[in-house]
Amino acid sequence: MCIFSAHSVIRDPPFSRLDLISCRNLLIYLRPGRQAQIIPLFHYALRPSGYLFLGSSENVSRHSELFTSLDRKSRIFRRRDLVARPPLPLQQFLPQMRREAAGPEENNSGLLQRSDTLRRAANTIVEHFAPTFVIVDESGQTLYFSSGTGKYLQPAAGPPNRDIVGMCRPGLRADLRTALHRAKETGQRVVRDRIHVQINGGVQMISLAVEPIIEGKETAYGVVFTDRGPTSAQDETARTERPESQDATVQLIEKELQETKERLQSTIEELETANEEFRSSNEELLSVNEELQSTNEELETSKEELQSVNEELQTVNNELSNKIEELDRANSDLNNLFRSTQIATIFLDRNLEIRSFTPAVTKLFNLIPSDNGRPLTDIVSRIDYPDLDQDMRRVCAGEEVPERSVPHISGSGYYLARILPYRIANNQIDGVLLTFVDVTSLVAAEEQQKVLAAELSHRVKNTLAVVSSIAERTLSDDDAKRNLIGRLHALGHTHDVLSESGWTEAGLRELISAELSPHGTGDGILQISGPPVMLKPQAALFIALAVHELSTNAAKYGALSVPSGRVAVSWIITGDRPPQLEINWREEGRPEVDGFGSPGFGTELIERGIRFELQGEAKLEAVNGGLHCRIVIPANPQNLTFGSSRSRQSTEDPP
Amino acid sequence: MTVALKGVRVLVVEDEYFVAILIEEILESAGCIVTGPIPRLPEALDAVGHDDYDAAVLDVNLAGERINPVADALSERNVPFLFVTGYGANALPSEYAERPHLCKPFRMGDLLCTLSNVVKPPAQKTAHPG
Repeated sequence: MCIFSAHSVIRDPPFSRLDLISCRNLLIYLRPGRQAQIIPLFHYALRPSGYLFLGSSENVSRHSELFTSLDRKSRIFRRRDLVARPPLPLQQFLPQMRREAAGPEENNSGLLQRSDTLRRAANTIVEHFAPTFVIVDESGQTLYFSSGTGKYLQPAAGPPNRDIVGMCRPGLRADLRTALHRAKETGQRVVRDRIHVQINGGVQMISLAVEPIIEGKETAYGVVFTDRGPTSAQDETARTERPESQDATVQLIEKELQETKERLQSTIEELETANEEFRSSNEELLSVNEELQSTNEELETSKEELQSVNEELQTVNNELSNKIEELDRANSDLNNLFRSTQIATIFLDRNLEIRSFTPAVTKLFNLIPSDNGRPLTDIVSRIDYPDLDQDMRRVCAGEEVPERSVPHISGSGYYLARILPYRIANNQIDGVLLTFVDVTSLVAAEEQQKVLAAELSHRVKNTLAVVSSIAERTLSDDDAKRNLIGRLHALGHTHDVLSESGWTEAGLRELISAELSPHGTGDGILQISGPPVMLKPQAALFIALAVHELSTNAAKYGALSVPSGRVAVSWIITGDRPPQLEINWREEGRPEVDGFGSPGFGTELIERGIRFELQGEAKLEAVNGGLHCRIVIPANPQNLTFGSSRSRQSTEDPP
Repeated sequence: MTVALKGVRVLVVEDEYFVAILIEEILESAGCIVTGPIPRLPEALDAVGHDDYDAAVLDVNLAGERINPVADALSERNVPFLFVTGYGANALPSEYAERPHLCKPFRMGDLLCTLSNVVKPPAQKTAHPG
């Protein structure tokens, strides 16, 4: 039958009459005191000759008398039935038991009391009339004493011991040991007569009987002492035992010899047994020693491992301290850099609250160190940057914000404000970095440069005007005067276009339109087409002069001199390596023209000047229908930049 | 004086087209044999290496590049030269600050006079009346 239930071996009342208790690896978790309580409980709970199965490192050591070891290695024990079990600590279970047993106890109390009384009466009779006896187990441990055993036994010196042989009064020990041994061997009752026991100064002759009591698989032995005659003084006893005749004496001596031989024999056997036990104990000790040694070795290995782990930890620790030192140094470097730099820098977190700033910031914002953690927009600023908040939010959102030149509110300075994302390890934006560079002197220098450039442009144009005026008054030849002044005007006009862009570049379309506009006002007379191209100053000047020469020639001799004439100017970027700008000037409507009207300055300027100044090629030829001029110059950065589109599409005609 | 320059081989290095053709015209009118005008430094160095000249007229700045390498090469060959500059005497290379120079704009006579001073020392001029 199997019953499954949760059962606390400590708290719950024990089961009883069990066949087997398997309690493996529980006791090792309990204190020795608790273990000592539990083993008797197990003994109680098992039926006679029941089995106890413990864990490999557990034992019944404290109560070895309660159990016989069946298999030492597997820790299987059998309950011993004929033992004096220490009282069970059953009080702890009492409350429960009392509750459960309250009813039946009342009903049966009379009967129980009656049987108890009878048992007590029987015991009284036994006490008074039965001989004195002791019950021992196989190893001679006392299990039960009847009354009056003090006459024959006395507690041995030393720690309490239940061994009956150790308790014997002088004279009894050898006989008792022999008798027990014999009884164990034969399984029969053994009787010894005429044993002289010294009792408190006197000598008592007793007879001793050892009676095996077989109970299941175990055997106990009852040792019964019976007095023979009264106690006598020692000398008296000797006298009474004096032999009355020679034969009787020999008989007595032979008997004594026989008994002595038996005693010796049993002593030898006991010695051998003890020897065997010693040997096995020794072996056990040896194996325990070996185990200890291996445990010791394991411990040593563990210790070494610990040591190496410790060393590793120490190394790691050292590295860590080095890193910390480096970090400290880097930190102090950064601090020094911030303190020494004149670039005002503010670090903001994702909520645009101040994380830290450099001392130079205090010129722009009313910041003190305790402002860390406050939103920057709460701080009074001395710069005029109304879009600051918006720009910072855009940067936070991952957009790019161009750097801005912002004025100080006092009007005394300018700062270049740059807002950059503060990126952390995985390139995430975790805030904003604001820098303000003082560009007051730069702005002032720029202003001055603008003034100077304007002044220069003004002076150059003035000079050109003066030259025109001088030419007007100096030259008498009208033709030469007109040519010269026209060229000076073309120069002046290109100058104008260039100075508008700060002498950086001029649009090709604007230049051509400006040179042609005085000649072709009629509808469809002029066609100008090409992609956006910006010419550098030198190229602009030469292309403008070349177009001026072409258009004055056309107005004088070519297509623009007749109403039906047409002029088409187009340009494209050709080739990739290296790219070139090709300008084509086509006149139509004057088929009879066979070249430039008056070769000289114009043709030389176009053919030689373009090559000389721009490393290009220019070719003038009369094709059927009019003059054709093809100008090709390298489209390199010294000459031009392409406009927004490099496509070769013809853009729409100008209005 | 112009007679003294007849047949003199002159290298002209100048990047400004109108100035260049003016110098060319003036020199040719004086009977010089003109090489150039050459507008860029590499071609000018090339020309110095390939031919012999009696004199050279050099612009100080060629499309942003200093004339120094050409001046060095000519000094090495003992070819006399003069500078033409729009910037003034301060713009001359420091090691050639003592060389004769002309400031733009200049007149025809200025160029021929300076050139003839450079070409031959006055003492030897009479040896080649021309």
